[in-house]
Amino acid sequence: MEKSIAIVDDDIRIRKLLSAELNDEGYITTEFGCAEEILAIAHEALFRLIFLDLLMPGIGGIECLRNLRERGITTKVIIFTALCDPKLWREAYESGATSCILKSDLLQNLPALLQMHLSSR
Amino acid sequence: MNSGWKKLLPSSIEGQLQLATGLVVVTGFTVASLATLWVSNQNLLKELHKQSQLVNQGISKEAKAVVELPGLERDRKLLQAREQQTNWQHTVWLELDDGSHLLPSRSEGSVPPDVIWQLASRGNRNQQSKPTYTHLSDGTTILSIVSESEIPGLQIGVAQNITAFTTAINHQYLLLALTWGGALLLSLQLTTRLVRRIVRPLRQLSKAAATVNSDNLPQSHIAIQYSPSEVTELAAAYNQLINRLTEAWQQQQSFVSSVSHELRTPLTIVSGYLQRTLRRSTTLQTNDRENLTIAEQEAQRMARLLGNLLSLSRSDCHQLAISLEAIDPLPLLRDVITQSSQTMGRLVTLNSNEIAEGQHLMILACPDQLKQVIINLIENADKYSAKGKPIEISISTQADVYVIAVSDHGDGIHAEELPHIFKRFYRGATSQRSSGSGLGLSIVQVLIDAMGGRIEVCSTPGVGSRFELHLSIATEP
Repeated sequence: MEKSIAIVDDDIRIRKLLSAELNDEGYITTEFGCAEEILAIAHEALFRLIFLDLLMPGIGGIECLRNLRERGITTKVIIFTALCDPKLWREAYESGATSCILKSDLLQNLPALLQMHLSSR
Repeated sequence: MNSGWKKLLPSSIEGQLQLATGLVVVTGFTVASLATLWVSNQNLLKELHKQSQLVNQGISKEAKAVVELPGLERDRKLLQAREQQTNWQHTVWLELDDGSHLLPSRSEGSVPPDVIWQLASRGNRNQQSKPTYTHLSDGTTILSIVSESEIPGLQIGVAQNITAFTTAINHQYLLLALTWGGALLLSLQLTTRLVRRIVRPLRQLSKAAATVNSDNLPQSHIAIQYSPSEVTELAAAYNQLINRLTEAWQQQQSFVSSVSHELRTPLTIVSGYLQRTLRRSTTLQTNDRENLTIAEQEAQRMARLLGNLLSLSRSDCHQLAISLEAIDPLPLLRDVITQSSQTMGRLVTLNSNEIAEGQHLMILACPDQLKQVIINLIENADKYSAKGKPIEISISTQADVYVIAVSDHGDGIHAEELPHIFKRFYRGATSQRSSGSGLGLSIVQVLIDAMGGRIEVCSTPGVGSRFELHLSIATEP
């Protein structure tokens, strides 16, 4: 079975949009409404790529990312956020993010991102 | 007229207080000195009157017994009485109605006989009962009084040497003047110290208030100790004002920041679905497709505007952290040009002739911010150019500086407008041509500054404008 791309965002509209775009490109997606959901299954499910929002109720993006990395999960994580805060982005990179992108720029750059991070389909 | 003399007053608190203190000290001492003089003089006169009365009583008593005697005998008796009344303190003489004087023949009492002769020979009846001061050339002062005795036709003169008294008074004056001068100096010095104590914190306050800006608001408090309570209160009120300003400023910043963030998500959704619809729908009419394209482009523009707002608000809070990297600007410029040409429906050209073929010069910049800068400059050129006029982007080098120039054939900028075009919310005189926030160029300035670059403008009204970005060339690794 082909591995899916995880989308973690508390905003269902963003999840649906990104999911639809990825499906169009031919990828299978799994949606998570909060960090806790993906952390609960992350030890068994392995994703090709994770899109992770930064600001979420409960466990935030950065903490979730650290948690994943602490468990030895090396899946590439793309942080997508509405916050264009250089400090937060630096923190995200330090915690093991592969890339950071603004939500408003995500869809435009999606093909390039996928090509860069998923060279083998 | 009223303000005439006020202009002569010193303008500073220190000067005014010193003037006031000086006046008070001078007036006080003058009044005190005059009062002292007057009181001691009064005492002197009182004493003279008393002496004169005593002498009068003594002589009158004697005179009653001898007044009926023949002339020579009477005069001899009167002279005896006169001599008896004279003592170390005062000298007595007698004047008779017939014009004769009974005077001391030798030095007697405190007044030399020649002075008594002078006093007696004046014979001025009007001077009677009025004390007379006589100043002699050797500095001696004589106080004298002539009064009617109880015997008709007999006047009694009493003279007193008051030189010791006047000398004492003069010494007293000198002492007073010295005290007066000393007190004046002391009080002026005290005033100066006191005023400095009041004025120093006020100066500190005005200096602090003059340098307050959005950058140093939280550090703009002033600490004032050991000052008069009014000044301390003023300083406390100032600090509270700074607190409220800081709070308001932070609220405004966080408001701009959070609004920009909040708006980004719905914008992403709007623009995302528009893009999807445009890409996927096969049933769209040409007209609908055009309309949706416009809507999508506007959504993109709004996202850029939000980015601009955020950059400005970050720059205001000194949080505009830009990390510079060595980048090849050509692909970035080509990207922007393609994107802009499509969006604006205007020809945007790239002229790279000045850079040698195959020479890949790298510059120090932040790609995202540089892109934002170029887009803003192109949008600005587009706003002020007539339809169909092209926009040209050219690149060149000057020593170790890479120059990216954006030129248009638009309205141009008048010389008097040039200093203002990078100000926030400033919009050019010809801006009625199109709408705008007046933020674009100020963001360009902020971002170019943050990248350590420089921007230059030259413009001819009616011909066009040229904005040059000067950025550092990255040295070969």
